[in-house]
Amino acid sequence: MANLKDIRTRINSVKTTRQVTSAMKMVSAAKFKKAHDDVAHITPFVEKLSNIIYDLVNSCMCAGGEVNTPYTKKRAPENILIVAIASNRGLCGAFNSNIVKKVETLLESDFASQYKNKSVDIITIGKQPQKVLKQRGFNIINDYNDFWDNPTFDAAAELAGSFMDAFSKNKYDRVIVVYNEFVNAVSQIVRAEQLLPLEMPVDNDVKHSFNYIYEPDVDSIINTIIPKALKILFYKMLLDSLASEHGARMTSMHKATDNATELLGDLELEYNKARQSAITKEILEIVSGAEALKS
Amino acid sequence: MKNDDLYLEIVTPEKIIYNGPVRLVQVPGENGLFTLLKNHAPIIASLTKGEIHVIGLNGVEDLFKCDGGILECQENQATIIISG
Repeated sequence: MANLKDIRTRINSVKTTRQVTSAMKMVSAAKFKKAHDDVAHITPFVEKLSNIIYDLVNSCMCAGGEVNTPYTKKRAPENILIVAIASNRGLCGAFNSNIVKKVETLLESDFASQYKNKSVDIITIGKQPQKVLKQRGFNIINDYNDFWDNPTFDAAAELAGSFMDAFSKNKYDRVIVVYNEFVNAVSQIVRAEQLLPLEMPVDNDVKHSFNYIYEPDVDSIINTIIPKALKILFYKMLLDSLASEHGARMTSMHKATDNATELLGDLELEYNKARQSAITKEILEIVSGAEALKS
Repeated sequence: MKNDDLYLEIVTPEKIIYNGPVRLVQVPGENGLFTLLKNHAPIIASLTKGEIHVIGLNGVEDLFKCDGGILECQENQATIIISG
């Protein structure tokens, strides 16, 4: 059995760790609240926007027209850009490693041939996935880790703008975003979504097609709404990832605190046992000493 | 589904700022101000900087600032999306 002093030191170190994890849990809970509100606010907006795009595209198709923008052109996927969104910080469970795993699976399955030709570029938003992906020798061309210092719509729009620019100049034929979709505080879904070219929500049996009046005209509406929609979609992905991160950290820190408490109970039991046996030993020594003196 | 009144929803990236039946809504279109009343023909319009003027069914007037956005209206359901 370990001696008393050793156990005491361990108890103290576990206590300190528990304090740290529970403080991190509190911090994450506060940040999570804000991130969750942001997601909740933007969700109806994105829904309405997709509805309008759906109506617009389908009534345009029904009228025999075509939707033509630089951001919806489908090309053979030769040059791929993967944007991996995760976190700058660790200690949030499998949050970051899930993203890395997903990127690896993408490169091994869907884009295996492009990967062999070295025509897959990766951009990371978050230091953690960047570190791991770099270690494994993937081609990371750029990072936007600073984004998390100040996650505003303008910054996201600028980023999305740069991807859209590269896409319309034929530098990339596909832009895939890998991120954690927010479901609730304890669960996130890893998603790989195609940002560009934008998939048109074409429905072949549209139940209601309206003969819309367009003001000023179809093309200019499509040309304003599509870039805006792309930027907002990308921003939503970032917000989702942020809320997921705080949720993941909150749960993993909660678990860590629980584990520390449990460990502390075990250690205290062990400590008391050791103390008891030390006392018993001392009494035995005294008694046997006294016996020896008597005889 | 046919509504009897014109229902209006105004959404921004932060929240839904208006949701309810209205008597009329006036919006700043690319080619100038125009007004929607109930039973308006289906329309999709892009909006410019200006003010959205709403008169609710109860006669209460509301003004919203608009930096640009999209308006869609069909079957008495109008949706305005305001984005920067």
